[in-house]
Amino acid sequence: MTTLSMAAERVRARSGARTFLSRYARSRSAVVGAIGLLVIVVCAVAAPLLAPYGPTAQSAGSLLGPSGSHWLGTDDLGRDILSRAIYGARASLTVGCGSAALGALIGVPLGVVAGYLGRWTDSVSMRFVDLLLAVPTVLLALVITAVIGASRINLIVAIGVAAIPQFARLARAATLSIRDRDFVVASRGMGATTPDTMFRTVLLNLLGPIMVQLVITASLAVVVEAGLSVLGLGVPPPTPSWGGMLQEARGYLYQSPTFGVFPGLCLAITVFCMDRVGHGLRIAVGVESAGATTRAAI
Amino acid sequence: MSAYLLRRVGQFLVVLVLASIAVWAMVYALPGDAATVLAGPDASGPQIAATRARLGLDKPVVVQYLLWVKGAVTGHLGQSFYSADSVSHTLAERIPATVQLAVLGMLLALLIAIPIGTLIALRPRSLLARLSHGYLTAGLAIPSFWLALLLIITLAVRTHALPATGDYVNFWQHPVAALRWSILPAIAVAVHGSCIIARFLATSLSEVMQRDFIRTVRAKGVRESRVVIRHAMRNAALPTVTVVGIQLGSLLGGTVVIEALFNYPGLGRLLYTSIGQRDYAVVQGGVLFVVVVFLVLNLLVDLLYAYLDPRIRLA
Amino acid sequence: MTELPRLSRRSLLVSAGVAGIAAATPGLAGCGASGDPTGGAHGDRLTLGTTQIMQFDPYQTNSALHIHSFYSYLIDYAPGGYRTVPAGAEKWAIGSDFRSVTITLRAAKFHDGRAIGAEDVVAGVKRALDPKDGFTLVQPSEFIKKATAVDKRTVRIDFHYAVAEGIVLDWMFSFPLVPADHNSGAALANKPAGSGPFRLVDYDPNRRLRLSRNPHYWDKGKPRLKEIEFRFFQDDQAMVSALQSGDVDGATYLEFNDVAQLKDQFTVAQGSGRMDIFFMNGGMPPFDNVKLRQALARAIDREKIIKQVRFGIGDPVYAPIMPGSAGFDKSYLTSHAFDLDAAARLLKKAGGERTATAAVSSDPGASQMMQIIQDDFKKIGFDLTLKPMEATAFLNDLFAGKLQCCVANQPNTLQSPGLVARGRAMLPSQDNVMMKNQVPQSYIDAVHACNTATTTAAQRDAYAQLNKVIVDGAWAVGIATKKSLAGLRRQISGYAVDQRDYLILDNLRTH
Repeated sequence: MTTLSMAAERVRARSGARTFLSRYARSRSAVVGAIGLLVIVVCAVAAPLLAPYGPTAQSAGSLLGPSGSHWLGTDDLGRDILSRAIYGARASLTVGCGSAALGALIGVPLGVVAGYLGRWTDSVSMRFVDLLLAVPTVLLALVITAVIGASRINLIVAIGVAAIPQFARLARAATLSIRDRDFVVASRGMGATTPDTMFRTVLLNLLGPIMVQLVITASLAVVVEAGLSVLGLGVPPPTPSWGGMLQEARGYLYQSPTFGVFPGLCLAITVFCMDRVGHGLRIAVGVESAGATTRAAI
Repeated sequence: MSAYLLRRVGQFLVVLVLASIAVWAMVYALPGDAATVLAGPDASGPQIAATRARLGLDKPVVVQYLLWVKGAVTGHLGQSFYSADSVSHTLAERIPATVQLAVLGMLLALLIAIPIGTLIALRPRSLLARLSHGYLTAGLAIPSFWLALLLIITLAVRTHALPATGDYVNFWQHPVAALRWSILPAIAVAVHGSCIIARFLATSLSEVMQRDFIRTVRAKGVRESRVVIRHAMRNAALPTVTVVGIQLGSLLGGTVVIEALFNYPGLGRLLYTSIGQRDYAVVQGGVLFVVVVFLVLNLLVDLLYAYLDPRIRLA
Repeated sequence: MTELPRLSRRSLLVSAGVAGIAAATPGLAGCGASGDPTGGAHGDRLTLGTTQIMQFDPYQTNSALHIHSFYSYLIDYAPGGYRTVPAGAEKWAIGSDFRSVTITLRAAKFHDGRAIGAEDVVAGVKRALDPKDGFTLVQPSEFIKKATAVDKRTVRIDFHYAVAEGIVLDWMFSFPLVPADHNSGAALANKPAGSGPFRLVDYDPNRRLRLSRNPHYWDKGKPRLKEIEFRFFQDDQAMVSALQSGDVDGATYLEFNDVAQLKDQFTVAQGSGRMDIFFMNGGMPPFDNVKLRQALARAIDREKIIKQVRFGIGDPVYAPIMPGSAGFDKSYLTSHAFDLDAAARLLKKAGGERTATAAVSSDPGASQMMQIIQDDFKKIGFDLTLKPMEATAFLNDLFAGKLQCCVANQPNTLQSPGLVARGRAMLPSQDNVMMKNQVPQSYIDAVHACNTATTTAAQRDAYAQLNKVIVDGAWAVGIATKKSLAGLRRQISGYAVDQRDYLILDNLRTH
């Protein structure tokens, strides 16, 4: 490749990024969502700096109301609710993003290979996907965590496995639609090997839809993780997680009705931000609405 | 067409068999079995072995599976380890509870969604529409189980207005009691659904309102309310009905967390308990029911789709 | 903010299919008819929340609280102690050589109307002696040679050897009357067959159990209530909410953190419960080193655990013998008190590896309890890794002897310290899941000595010896009693729990 064409490539990439951003910024709510998500990520990463207390430090009396030293009060063991909520972002984000990434890492290659090779490879992998899709996510996660135990990694595995079908179907459909288009056929004709063709050419064209699906899956996974925690099957205590805090708060619905409010609010804000970011990405990369909006209660 | 039909039915059967084996393997991978649960923490080794023998758990896994398949083929889904009832009977008691909750939840969702969706589409600048937008934003973000907890705190534990737990009462026999015991879980699942439905309705309705034929109808001097109801709504209803269907479909699979929070005796809670108790036949039967509902709907869709679009069956 | 999704014919058709199913609902719903499950005490009927009730075989359980509603036992103990009260047995006489007991049965009827006879006891003893079908009665019935019917209502039971009176009474307290032709695990799995205060009305394993008054109950005037309904809750919090909102009149198996919020509005009843014991697996390293076990035994902070995990409810125990039993020796709580310095010294001498994995069951409080232990062990240089496990998985591995260490429950030892041998981690044989072939012979001998000590002096010596070998063996280190808790509406009185935690519901009434 000549220097000139490399420079041209760079310019195109830069302007691509600019179009992407300006399209994204067209939705004001998407910008709000992105900023909100950024704040949550910062909270998770810099939790030790931001949280006034340690997540497991039992500092004061239990079930105190909001006060100057404990802005959101304390929980049943006298731990600071604000600090635990800040640390709790870690569990939600790691499980959310981890399982979305896992789903993509398995689902996308599966879909691309199935779509590209067709025939029995396609049949076999799509039957597998049908199977995963047919079993409800929470049930699948219930069984997997019962077998391998509940820990952050195991939750990622459990929820990630359930996320495979969406990625596989998406990747397969996209692969099918571009498999026989000129540029793919051309790169094949130019002597590129089969794996190369699939994973470079095809995959590059899939980046947009995959990004959207990643965000959608992550927001779903955050909710599923919290749902499992509410049943007592999430990240084991004393590690704080929003779902786990809700579960603890359930013991004190009468005494301290405010205990359960803040962790739920954190969840709702995160889901809102992720939903908006997904919306912005959809506009930016020009993908039609996918399955996210049709999620029902878990 | 018949060749395609054969192939699709074949695929359906393959997935069904795969699902059955997968579910069986899944529950068998769980450490411990029903004999452990039944015999309890103070039982001795020979007693657990005896319980295992009584329940038929001492046979090799494959034999147990084949015995189950043999029964399933003749319509007998096996028996729960914990009751004298057959699995089919147990499912027949739970499924109506889940269906009733799902239908009630969906009706509530529609009651909220239709006015809101219409309002947003027809009067997007009005104050009420803005408030409705706020409802949609909040409703989509709030996890249903959190809403459930808030409902329990405010309406049950604090004020005693409604029971904190749900229960299934046949609606056709005791309509008031049925509502009383399932209204809170129904609200918990309805809010999220109503937001999705309202979003779809608003979008498609406002799109329809801008089409040419609406202008033509208006030009004819038809009253505006009639334009909306007779013409626009009818066209906008189709996509909305689809969304309602998808929502209802996923609710029918059982809402494990909501059913557990409200102690509601539906399919979701049944499966949750049965997994914990290693009640293999019930888990197998219940999951298979969910899977079959899903697969049958998909199969029907694919077949009709193929019927409407010849390219598919020729491919 | 709204967007129009692409809607395919496919999804349209899905909805059509769903609509079809929904349309079929009314037909389906007809199968599961049921009346209004209203809670609330209505004069002579009560609803109690509980965890799931799974079976009706009194041989299979020694803790399922509903079982005493269906069955009469040979004798009862008056609540709070070990004063005997005649029940199924009208009177009994222990032979002067302590090698037999002759029991006269009360003239009473089973639920099916048949008279209770000596043959039923003979069949029941036979089952209790069958290691495959006797379940929780096998161990306590070990001393029995045979039962013979003397006449219609008199049975003579012969022992293998002379047995302490307490052992015989504890056995009679644990022996349920079941009709001979129904007395097997298979027959009782789903249907009770007893002579207790209540009869089964209906049972739905996922929802409820309904009982109605047994009109032929031998104790005249009881039970006082016409109907009792148990509603099953999988989730403790849902049950507490149900109690608070008035859906149920009482809730059993409450968790300790519930008490604080319930005690102002409800009556909270405590049953004697079980014991929390810290077990170390002597069958595998590093706990095959008895010195190491003895060292770690000194690093368990009972007071902190009772205060923080059990909210101040419960009494400390050292050996797994219940306070209230004649064999309970509280001196070990001071002589072997929590002392990190002593523990560190002993640990230094013991040598060996300094890491282990502790399995944590999903029992409420198990995790906090283990965290406190983990914390203290760390201070003396021993690293515990905690491994949370799902309930059944935990039991499975515990039974298989695969757990390195854990906190698990031990049943009530009643009057007889020898009953410490109930429970698989305390068996005086190679089947002991914590010690396997490492079970000290001195422990086996001590248990036997307790069971056969017929004089007060012999008993005193035997109990002291039993305590000593358990403390020296140090595979089972007592923490505290774990009371069973129930919350009831203030209008309810007459609630009682016996020493096994069985509910005594025949005196229950509402105002």
